[in-house]
Amino acid sequence: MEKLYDLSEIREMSGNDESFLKEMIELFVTNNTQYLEELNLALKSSDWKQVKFFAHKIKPSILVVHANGLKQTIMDLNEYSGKQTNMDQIPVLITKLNEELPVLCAELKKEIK
Amino acid sequence: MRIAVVEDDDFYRRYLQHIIELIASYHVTCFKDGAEFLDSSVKEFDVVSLDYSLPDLTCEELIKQLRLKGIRSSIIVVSAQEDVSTAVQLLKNGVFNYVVKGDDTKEHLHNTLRHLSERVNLEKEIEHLSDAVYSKYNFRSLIKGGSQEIERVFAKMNKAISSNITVSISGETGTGKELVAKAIHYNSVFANKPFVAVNMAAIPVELIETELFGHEKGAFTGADQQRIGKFEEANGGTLFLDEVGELPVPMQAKLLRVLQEREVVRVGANKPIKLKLRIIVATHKDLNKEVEKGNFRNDLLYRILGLPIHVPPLRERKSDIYSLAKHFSDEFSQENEIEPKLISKAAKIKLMRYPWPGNVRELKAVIELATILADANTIEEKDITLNSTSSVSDLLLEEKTLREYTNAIIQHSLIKNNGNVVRVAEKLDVGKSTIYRLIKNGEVKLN
Repeated sequence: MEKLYDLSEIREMSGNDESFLKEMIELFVTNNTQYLEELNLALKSSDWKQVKFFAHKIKPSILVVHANGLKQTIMDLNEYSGKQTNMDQIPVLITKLNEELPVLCAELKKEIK
Repeated sequence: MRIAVVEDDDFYRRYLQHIIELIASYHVTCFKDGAEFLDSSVKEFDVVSLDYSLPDLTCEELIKQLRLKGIRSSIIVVSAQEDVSTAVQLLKNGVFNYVVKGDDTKEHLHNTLRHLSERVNLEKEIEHLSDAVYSKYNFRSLIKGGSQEIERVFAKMNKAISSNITVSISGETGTGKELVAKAIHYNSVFANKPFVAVNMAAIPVELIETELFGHEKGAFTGADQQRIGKFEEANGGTLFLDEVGELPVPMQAKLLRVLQEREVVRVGANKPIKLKLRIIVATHKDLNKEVEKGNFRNDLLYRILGLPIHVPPLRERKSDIYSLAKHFSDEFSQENEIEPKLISKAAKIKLMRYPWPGNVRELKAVIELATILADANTIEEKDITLNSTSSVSDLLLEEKTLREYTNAIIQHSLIKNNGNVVRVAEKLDVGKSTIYRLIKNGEVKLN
């Protein structure tokens, strides 16, 4: 199965420093788990500003770990919530995030076991 | 280069820190929000990398607070925000670059930091050079000497720097009039603006007007492009008109008009250009006498007189001769990486007895030659080669009695002939006994 992410950039820039990799993955998992919870709460209350805020927070780390399967999802969510367009797509995108982001986190955690 | 990373997201903050520290010369300190950063020693940082969406302060507010604190650090905004208008507005507000958090953040950030590093280095170099210029033109490091005469010059210079008054510097050739002018400029409020020196005696008469006032393209045959004149070049700073006494009378009227109106019109143009600058003039001539002779306009003299500063000739500040000679010898030795030289007593006496018609400039040349000629670590009398072209008019610059002049001529001849009284008596057609009597009375000296 094709990997959901690519850590070669982080590995290369750290000179394969395993402790740095561990630190980055732990931060990724902790932060994004929290951001996803906040994102769901914002969706429940239709607070689009907050939806935009947390989508904006998740996006950079998704790009750093090259989680390409989620890249378009988070970029669209960021754009739609910011411009408040394609509003019907926002719950769909968040559902996709709810399904895939925890899987991504679990897979990443395996890297540091 | 010291860099502050202000980023609330732990993951991205660590990521930025790591990619910046990949470059060995960059030292990163991280802050989780605007308040934590503002509480730190913000002045220490050359560059600040700011997240656009901080939890406590907007990027614009943080930049505003930094500027209010007088912090001039370069700012890079790193953001996931891809809105072009936001980026443009930030760049307009003085942000150095806007880096989007994306696939190539590392490359963009490294490029930005490399450009910034070059700029920071240039700014530091400029600051260093400004300090060097200040130090170079500090009165006492520039004009050597502690005599009362030179202290009087310093006192006048101090008066000049605190205002924009026109300054007229008089003094014989080689006394350092241009140094005085530069020292006034670089210690005044005009210091960061140009100092433009024009030597009137060095410009052909027919070119003076365009040289000073500039010309428009096509103003005359050969004017194939527009040229700005020295007045415009010096605008905001200081224009130093050296040897102003050499200015032809017809040009004096034009100069007077410019000084009165404080505006200049380029040759071939109609539109006047406003001037805000300090004028310093210098001359070795007695302008009052030139006015009497009809060579200089009375009204221009009054206009340029301003604060007069007379730089005394070296023979009138003899107590400075030795310290100047030692300074020039040390300076020359250092520049040429040779051992510093002492000056023997006999050499010192020879220096003190000479009237120095070429003043400090001549002393410098004589000492540089002596430093080279000296065989050991001491400049001896024989190493001091005095200028034999000193004219009678130079001697007459000194106000002496006939007896004093006679003694000075005999003394000069004795020095020139290495103390050979017989030869001096023959050459000057005076009795040997007269010379011996003068020596005995102490009116002239053999060594």
